[in-house]
Amino acid sequence: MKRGQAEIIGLVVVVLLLVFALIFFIKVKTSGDENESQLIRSNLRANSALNALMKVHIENDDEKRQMKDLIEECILNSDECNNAKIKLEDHLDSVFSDEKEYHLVVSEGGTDLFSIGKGCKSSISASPFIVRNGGKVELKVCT
Amino acid sequence: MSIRGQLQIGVTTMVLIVFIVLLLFSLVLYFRFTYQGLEETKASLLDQRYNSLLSVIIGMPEFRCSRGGVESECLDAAKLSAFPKVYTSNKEYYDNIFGNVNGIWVDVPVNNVNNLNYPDQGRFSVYGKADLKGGIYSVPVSLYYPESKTYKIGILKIRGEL
Repeated sequence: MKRGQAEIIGLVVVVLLLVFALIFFIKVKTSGDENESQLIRSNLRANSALNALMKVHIENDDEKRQMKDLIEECILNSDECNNAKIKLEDHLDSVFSDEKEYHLVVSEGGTDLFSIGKGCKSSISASPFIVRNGGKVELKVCT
Repeated sequence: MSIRGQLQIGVTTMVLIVFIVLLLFSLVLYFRFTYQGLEETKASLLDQRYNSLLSVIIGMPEFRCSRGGVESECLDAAKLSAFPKVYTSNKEYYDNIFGNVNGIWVDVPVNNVNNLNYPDQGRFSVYGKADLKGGIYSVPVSLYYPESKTYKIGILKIRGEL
């Protein structure tokens, strides 16, 4: 092999090493660590949203009941779950501006009764809201 | 000039060109990432600042609802409705608390935003104006209407720096 050819091969090797180093740097830089403040904000948002949702009054003719009462009825009688689901969906959409960036699950004794929204890649969970008769409402807000 | 000399000049020129191109590319990337990092830090600090302010507002006795002296996790709609008068008479005090935000208000999605009559009021203005420039930082809150003893969902919003 001539000296010129050897130098060109050396140059190619150096360039390749630099390119690999650059690709590695970009990958590390863009993989993104979790943004702590976003987590805190989402946590406040998730807890506050679930609290507001469970307290809200639903008007049905002259009767005024809170959302948690509807969920309690759903736990006692599964035929009522559809009504609770529709009302919950309406309010969730008004809170999260129709983006479906949440996942809400109503369960009883570990069995899911219904869920609203899509699962997300990464999410923040609100503290579960415990309903009478063994019910539990969990809300995850996508980050 | 000998062929060997020409070859060496060619190789040196190539090395220099490749080096300069790589150096420029790296510099552009470096400054881009530095700028991106600074923007992320700024967004994170603003997030923390306005998140703290949202928590402060939710906890203020001027807005917080209570029943029989026991405070609850909600905002009192009647207090919110009457707040502009309280603000006018204590302007300096509230300016210190709210800092340099452009506006603070609570929207009630189920009510018409243009309705200014309590209890069907669609927007409770707390501070400043809602339609100024800046980013919106928001959190859902529970609104308590003492006269009907009912709860609605509201969105507490702050318009601040972006």
